Amino acid sequence: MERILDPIAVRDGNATARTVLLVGNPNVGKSVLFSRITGKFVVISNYPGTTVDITRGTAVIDTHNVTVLDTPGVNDLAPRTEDARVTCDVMRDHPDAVVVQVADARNLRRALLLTLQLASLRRPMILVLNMMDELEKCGAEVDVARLSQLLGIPVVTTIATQGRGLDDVTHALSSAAVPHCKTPTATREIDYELTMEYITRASEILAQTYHAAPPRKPTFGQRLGWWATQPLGGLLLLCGALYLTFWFVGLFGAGTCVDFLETVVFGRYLSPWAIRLFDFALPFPHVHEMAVSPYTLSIPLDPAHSVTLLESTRQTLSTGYTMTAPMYGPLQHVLRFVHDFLVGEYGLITTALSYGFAIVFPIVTTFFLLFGVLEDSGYLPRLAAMVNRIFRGMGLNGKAVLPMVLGLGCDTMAAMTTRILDTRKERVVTTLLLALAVPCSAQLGVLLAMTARISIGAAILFSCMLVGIAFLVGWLASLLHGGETSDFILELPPMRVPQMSNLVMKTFTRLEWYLKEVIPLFVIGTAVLFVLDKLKLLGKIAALMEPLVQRWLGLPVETASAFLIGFLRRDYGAVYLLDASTGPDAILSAHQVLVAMVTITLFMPCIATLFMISRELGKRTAAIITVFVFVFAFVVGGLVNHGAHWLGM
Amino acid sequence: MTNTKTAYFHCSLCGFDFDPTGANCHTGCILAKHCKLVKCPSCGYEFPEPSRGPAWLAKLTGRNRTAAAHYATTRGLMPLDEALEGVSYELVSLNGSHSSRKSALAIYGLVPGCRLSLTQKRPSFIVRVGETELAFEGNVARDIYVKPVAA
Repeated sequence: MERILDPIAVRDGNATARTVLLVGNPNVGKSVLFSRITGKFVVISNYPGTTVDITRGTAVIDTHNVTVLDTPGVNDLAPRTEDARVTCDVMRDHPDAVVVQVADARNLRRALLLTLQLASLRRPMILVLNMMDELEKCGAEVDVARLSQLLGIPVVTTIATQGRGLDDVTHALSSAAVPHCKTPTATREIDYELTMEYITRASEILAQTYHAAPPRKPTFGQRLGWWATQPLGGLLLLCGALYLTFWFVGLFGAGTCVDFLETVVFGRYLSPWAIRLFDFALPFPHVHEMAVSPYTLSIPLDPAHSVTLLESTRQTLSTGYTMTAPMYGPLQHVLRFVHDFLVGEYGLITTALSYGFAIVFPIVTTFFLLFGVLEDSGYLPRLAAMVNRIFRGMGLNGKAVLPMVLGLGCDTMAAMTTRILDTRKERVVTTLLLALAVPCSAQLGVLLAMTARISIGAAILFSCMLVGIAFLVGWLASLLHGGETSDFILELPPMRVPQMSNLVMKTFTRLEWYLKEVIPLFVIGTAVLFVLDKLKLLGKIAALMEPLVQRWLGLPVETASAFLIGFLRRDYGAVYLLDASTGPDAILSAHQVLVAMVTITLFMPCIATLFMISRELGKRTAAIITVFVFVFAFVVGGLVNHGAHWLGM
Repeated sequence: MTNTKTAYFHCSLCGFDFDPTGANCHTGCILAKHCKLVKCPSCGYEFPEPSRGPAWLAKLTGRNRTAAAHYATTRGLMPLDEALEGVSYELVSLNGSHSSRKSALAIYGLVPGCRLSLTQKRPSFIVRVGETELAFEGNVARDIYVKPVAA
């Protein structure tokens, strides 16, 4: 869509701010400033493209309520990218808003290009030079007074992360002015020639206001950044990051934390308490069975070794019960129904909440914490530069690695982040791969537990198969979809030490978002299973799925319910398969565990992901992806089953 | 002297760089088939065709790098994918017909006249322009023409 930047009528005098638009280059601290001014937390990261939507907040400035809008980072106002289009739309929708341009003080050249484009719109604005601490550290200087004089707008300096200079920003809002500097005439679409005119003008201003720093010895961060993109150093760092993720999420999160929450908190305290409470509140003649609950608190060193800190065994109440007398009257039947719905085998508290909080919660928390460290450090764009050539094989470019890695945390969130990709083809292919072959952290945790039942060779085969499928499907999807893949041009932000407060808040915000999506789905899924179980329909559905599950996949018919619930959330389905594959009464052989793992991993992540894909890419594409994913999952599962039999595995 | 990638010849008399195709010293000469002389199309100077030797040996001994460095400093203009890592260059022109690509590079400060240093070439090209560090791929680098500047 072509868009022409029409100069908006010049307004005289100073504006009284009612709406403030935060605009600026990516990764310059707009969101930090937004949080500081409005007191509302938004997710902030050390890579371009974190803000993919408009965030709205309110601030009280000089006793006035002011609406503050945080926009995605843009390098210029040419509507080449989704971010620029969103920013231009917001500017158009709020013609009376004061524009606050946030700039990285060290990178004034790039900021000025945007300043001049904004100045062409003739709207009241101020310029905030953020990250002044980093400017001082590198030894460069900016003549703020001269800059303000040349542009004709207030220029203030801040260190948003430390909260310095924020009062200056709020005071400057009242003196926001329409820039009077000379700018190229923006009466046509911004093309290369017009951009060059802006750059030439920016260079003239820069020459009078910016004094560059003499070259210095590279800092440790710069060296680390350099290592991260070198073929050998990058590979070593990647292996290090992967092992750290495996240890922290797979061993510590999915092992130590899940054991504690599942066995101790839920198994020994919350579930028995709930059972006793509802036995008291909903009396009918029954007695719950006792089960042995062994627990070992250990810190893992590697998959095979751990340091044991504590061991204990206790008898606890289990969900199973035996009737002590026949039931009389319909009331007792109702009481039993409600009791089973809350604390029965498919009980809300004993199954849905226990699974949501004891298994998913620790895994997702550890993943998001670690992901926060990786993204705040500035490592992820370097990873994109490392893997760009590999992704080219799939018709994507390196940028697609960002949603893919986020998909290891939550596929729904990642489906939304595909907006950072430039062409529709890249977004469709990346979303398809997310839906098909990128297991989210909850699923990963369950898969990891299931790999304990298969040999190392089979686990390696499973991983290679997943990677191979991703490449093959990505390559084919690119071929079928057609169209251009955009150039890989990505800015590498400086490597930084992550800020603890931001990390904690970011993890908290993501967890809140995740739990709000996940817990209702668990409750609905459990309720569906419960109703089907009570209506004796589970058996009938299992019989219907028998040819598919038993003959094609070679799995026991009892696993049909796992696939049934897998349609809602695949990790939830995987938990049923985990139950069926571990413990003393395991019904799956090692061969069947591998088939079950492959099939359930290739399922659609969850119904929330489906809704997100539908929102992002349209209903038709979402429907095609869904049908393909489910058919493909069963086809590959069956092929693995028969292939392994044929090979005698 | 040859450029290691595109095999241009450099005339040591007049400094002209030329494509060796059709630059034999003579036409119709009966010895032409095995003749190893080339003729500079600019000044007419004839000189033996420079030998490159096995590429792996040149790589191992670093001769390749020295040759390319010498070429870079004497010749001037070259596409960025033939430039050397760790050397500073001045951007001379952004070629190619992709206006959006040129604009995408321009907004990061990669405009004719800017100074950039090439940090690495593999697996992706990484250049530093002022305070901006930018990664891009080979086909983008091929369209960026640079000339070396003194450190």
